[in-house]
Amino acid sequence: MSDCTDRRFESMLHHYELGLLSDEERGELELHLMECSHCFERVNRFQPAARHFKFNPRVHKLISELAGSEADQPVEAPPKKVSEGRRRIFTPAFIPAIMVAAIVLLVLVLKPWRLEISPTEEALAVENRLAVMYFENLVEEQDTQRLGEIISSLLITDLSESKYVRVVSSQRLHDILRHLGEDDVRRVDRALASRVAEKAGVQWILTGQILQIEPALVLKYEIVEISSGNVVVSDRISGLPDENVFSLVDRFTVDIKQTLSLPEEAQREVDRSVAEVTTYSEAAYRYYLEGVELISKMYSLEAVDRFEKAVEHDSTFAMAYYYLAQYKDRSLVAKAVEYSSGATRLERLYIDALEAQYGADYPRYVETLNKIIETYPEEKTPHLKLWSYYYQIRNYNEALPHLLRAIEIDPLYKLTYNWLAYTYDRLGDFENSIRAIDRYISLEPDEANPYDSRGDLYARNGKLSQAMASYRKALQIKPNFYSSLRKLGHMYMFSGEYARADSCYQALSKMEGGQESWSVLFPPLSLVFQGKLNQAVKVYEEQIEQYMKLYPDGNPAFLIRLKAFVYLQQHNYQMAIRELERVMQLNREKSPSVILNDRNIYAQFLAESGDFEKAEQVVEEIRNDKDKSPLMENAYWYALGAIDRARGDLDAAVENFEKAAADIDEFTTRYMLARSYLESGRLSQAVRLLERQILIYDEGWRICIGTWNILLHYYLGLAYENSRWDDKAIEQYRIFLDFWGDGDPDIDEVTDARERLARLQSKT
Amino acid sequence: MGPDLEINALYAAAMTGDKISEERLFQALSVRFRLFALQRIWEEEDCYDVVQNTMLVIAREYKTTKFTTSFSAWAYKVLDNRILAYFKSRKGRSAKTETLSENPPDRNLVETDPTLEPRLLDCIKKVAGANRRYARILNLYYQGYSTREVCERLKIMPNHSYVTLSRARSMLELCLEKGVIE
Repeated sequence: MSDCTDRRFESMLHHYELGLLSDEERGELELHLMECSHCFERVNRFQPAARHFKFNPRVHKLISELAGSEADQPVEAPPKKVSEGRRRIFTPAFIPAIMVAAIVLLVLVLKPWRLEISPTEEALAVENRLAVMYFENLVEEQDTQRLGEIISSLLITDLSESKYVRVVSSQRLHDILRHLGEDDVRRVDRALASRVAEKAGVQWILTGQILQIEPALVLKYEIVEISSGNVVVSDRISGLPDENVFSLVDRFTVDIKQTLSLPEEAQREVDRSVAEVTTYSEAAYRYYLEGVELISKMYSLEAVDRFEKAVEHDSTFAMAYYYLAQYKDRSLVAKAVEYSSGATRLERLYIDALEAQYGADYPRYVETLNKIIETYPEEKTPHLKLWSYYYQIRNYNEALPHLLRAIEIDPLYKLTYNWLAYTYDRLGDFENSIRAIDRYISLEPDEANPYDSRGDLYARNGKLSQAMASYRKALQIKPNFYSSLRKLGHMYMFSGEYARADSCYQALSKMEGGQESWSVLFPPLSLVFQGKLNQAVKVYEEQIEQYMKLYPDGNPAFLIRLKAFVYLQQHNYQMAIRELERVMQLNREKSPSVILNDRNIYAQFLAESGDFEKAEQVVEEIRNDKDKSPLMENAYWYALGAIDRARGDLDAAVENFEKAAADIDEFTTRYMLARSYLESGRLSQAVRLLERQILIYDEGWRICIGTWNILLHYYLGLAYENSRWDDKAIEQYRIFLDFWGDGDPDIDEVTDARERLARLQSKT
Repeated sequence: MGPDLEINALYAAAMTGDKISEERLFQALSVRFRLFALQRIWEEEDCYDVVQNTMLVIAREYKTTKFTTSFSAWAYKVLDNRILAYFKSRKGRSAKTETLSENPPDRNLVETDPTLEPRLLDCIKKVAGANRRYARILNLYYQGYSTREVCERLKIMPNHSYVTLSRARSMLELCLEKGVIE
């Protein structure tokens, strides 16, 4: 048995035995143990002792005593990643397991985000609050037609229309059940229902069964008061001959409202038929529910299919259009608005908000969402939408509280942790972002999206190989998770593995509902990454033609824009401007709601070409549109900075680019700011910013522009060299030349980098 | 178990029809898989079942499967999939059972060597005497801190935590074998 050839793995053995490695590290080490007899034998021999380390309370006690003062400190259990299967349990044996679970959950949920729930709030939450459980189908155990879910969902919808009873939403119930490890929502017995009720914080719980389907529906139900355990009512409701499920639910709702101790006004309020506020088609409703469930899993392609089927069965189904507008075709929001009278009050507000959003009427959008928050304080969705809005305009400080409030309302809603991770990341808090994403993974270890998100976080923090591993893990779980495939392709691009990148993009283009644009973009982009700019320009034009043949109604602006940047790099300002004007014209025709439409970049191109008069006109236009979108403010300062820089007024350029970058985490702005720092001699700031930018493997502008991605290394080399950090400068010049050294011979930066590298090497 | 446990070499030999190598290959896989599965599955019986199922799949398919990587990587992947399948199927159990199963049952410490515990306690004392940081790191892990958090509290680099535990483990190995740490 020879020694281990990889000391890294050997040093991980004790961590492995103690269960302290991440899933990825564990996987890597176990693969190593498959092939390294030396390490395997060490682990195998030590296994009996290792189990004492894990499970023996006397070992734990001894360690605690030996640790001395460290053990005397109060235990602040930090949030832990709870992965599938076995997890670390180092808790004193005398604490009952259930308490441990509760404490860990509270810590996981509350500690990192400092939420507080007062007893008063809990009490308020319980009052008049009802949870309607899924109806168990005793006639057909598998409930293939989802009748049990349809009945409970319709009841929730109908009861939610009342001002006097608050009903736990279907989404929340689903999350709670999943959290309790119950994927099969059709099997909820009374004991489980009580646990769900406890988690949901309700006064009553309604459970039921389907006793008969034909010739008419017969349901049995029971309402229990949670605090006393008393059965408030236990009864049956029978359908009439030819009565459909919607009508039965209408009668059922009236019975329930009469049974509960609600104010008298509750009996007198207008009670619309549930079909009027949903659909008259049972099939449409079934597809709709399936779609909503798929959306919650981020499987939008499959969800769109269900929503389309829903509108096939009911062409006036407002909420199906609402989702289709979001996930397929924005224009369908008009249909949602048209049929919104057939939706609930709450849904109408959502439709209204969506219409405002798509019409770029952001003040109305924000106002409508705030109105939902005011009227329905327990709705988490408006908070999530406001978070999304502020996040998109990169106002992360404003975005974060909405997300935290959403978590407060529903700590079990898994996607919130996903978004929380991104928000913390944008706020520069990598530590909390990883905590949040690990929480998300622990909630959904078998779904692809958590791993995709973790890949994004790693990618944005310079951890390229870990990002790739996470994307691969996501694809392992769901091979057609195209977001991960696309980003894995980008990571290969960044690491110079073009053939692999191409295979990802090709696979992406062949995927149903995939993204063909990347396979079209790859040929010229890979040439740009290799410094073959002259060839890239030609290939761009070919690809644009090909794209237009494939998608006559498509918008090739993304391809033309990148071509413009190649011309910019070649100092061919006339062509760069012409191509960018093409982009702007295409966007005006095909995407008229885009307000900025590259005008800040246009001003930059004009200024760099020496046409300051026209550049200033463009800046003035941007200034006039500043109120239309918060992003315009950044664009305005960017354009001003670009003009100042082209004029050689570097101090003013820095000042304006800093204003542009103040609330914005965006590649182009920071790239230009870094260059201005460098050119104005602010070396430490240039170094800091360029070092940070190099670590952000962004799938946005950095990958798309191509040229600037490579030039980052050249400029960082310059910043280092001017700071007298010769070794670091050499490293950056080498990386730069690795990319572009074999490219076109007439690239100024390449010639300069070669000379500088030779000079520095001769010095050392 | 013989000293040569090189899985891929045994696989290559087994593929030529060498029955002894085939037997040793499955023996080597089985012992590794049991160890790996025990890292993730509490219940020893479940663990045994998962490993058995994995071995059956490998025995059935290894001669006809074309690997894109190596045999060992493929075999490990089969195990990983079986473990994931186990967790999926386990989700159907009641939440109560799940919660209780998080508390390691006593049988995880079923002892084959009654002298091990006292020897181990003695060795831990010796190692901690030589390297106090070892106990402090372990104690923080026991309290639930992540590697990064442990390092922050103790003001050490993450690599240092690996090195400290690794060295302490080597001392423990020696101590359990010879009763001394150096």
